Amino acid sequence: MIGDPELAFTPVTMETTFGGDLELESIEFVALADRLRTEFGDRVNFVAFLAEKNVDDIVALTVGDVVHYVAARVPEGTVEKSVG
Amino acid sequence: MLANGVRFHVQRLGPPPEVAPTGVTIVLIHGLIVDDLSSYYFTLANPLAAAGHDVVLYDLRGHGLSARPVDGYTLRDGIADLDELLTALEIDRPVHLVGNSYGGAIAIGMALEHPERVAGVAMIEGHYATAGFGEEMAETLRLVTVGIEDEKWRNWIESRGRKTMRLARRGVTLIEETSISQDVLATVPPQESALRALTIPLLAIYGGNSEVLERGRELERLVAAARLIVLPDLDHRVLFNTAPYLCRVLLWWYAGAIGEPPAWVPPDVPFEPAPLSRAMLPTA
Repeated sequence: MIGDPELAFTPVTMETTFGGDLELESIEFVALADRLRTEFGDRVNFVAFLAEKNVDDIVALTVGDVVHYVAARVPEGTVEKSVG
Repeated sequence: MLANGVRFHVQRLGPPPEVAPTGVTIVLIHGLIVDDLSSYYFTLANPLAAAGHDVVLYDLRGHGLSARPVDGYTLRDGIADLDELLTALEIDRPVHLVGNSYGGAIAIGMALEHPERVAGVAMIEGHYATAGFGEEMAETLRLVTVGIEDEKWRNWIESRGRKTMRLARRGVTLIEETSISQDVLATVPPQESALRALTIPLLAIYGGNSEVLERGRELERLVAAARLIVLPDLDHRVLFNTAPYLCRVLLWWYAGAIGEPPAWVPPDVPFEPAPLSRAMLPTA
């Protein structure tokens, strides 16, 4: 999803920030939103989630923030594992 | 999605289940080089979909997550791409086009070449092909490639971080490795009489300090059903600086544009100036 080869070996943890550490571009946020919608359906509205945040919040957004957001909206055991 | 022989990145957003569809399809067309569909995705697209509209966004060829073929960047190619995309999406009723910057030229071109496809056009700081347009666009692209080698501009890009540098490099790659410069130079402007013959509703929103405000004034003069809104103090970055207001105006427009447009109230925070203003770029 992120096209920068320099980031291919960047370790990703729950504390990794999308805007700061990964420097996600806007179009990559679109791809992330699309991937989340494909995976979880309308239960996960990433755009609405981002709409509640200002620019500083989005830059500081961590992988853990998104994981917690998704987990709060998708009850455990209700997602079929996708293959590939 | 494959259209006109090119793989396009397309996003289509519809109303949530609790909102009745309006039956209006809106296609959002972004600008050249450092732009892509994300400019709309996080500003206009979702509020328009939430209001019941069917919203289509796509990255132009060579931009965003679409493929970057080495040629096919004329305005005529851009119009053909959109025509083929609508076919691929099985959209056969007339659509409302929104064009930001260069996207405006595609929107107007589409209305002229495929009038049966277009129900209306909204220009946000939109260009359209006039005499000298090709030369003007080619010169802008040349300045971008010269500019990235210029110390002042390069320092500014680097100060914005790796993300901005990647965007700038990708823009330069598009200019240097494809025919886009020659292709925009070859743009053939439509006859003024063709623009005068347009009968579709046309909304033109421009910044009072914009370099392309004159295009909006010309459209108001030429197109019978044109409505011009000039936003004082704004430059070419109308979409980025006033997205909430644009949402209100577009919702008013697609609801039938009854009465006056929503009142413009400048935000308290200063407007962010256009990063690619000509003043920042070297002239030789």
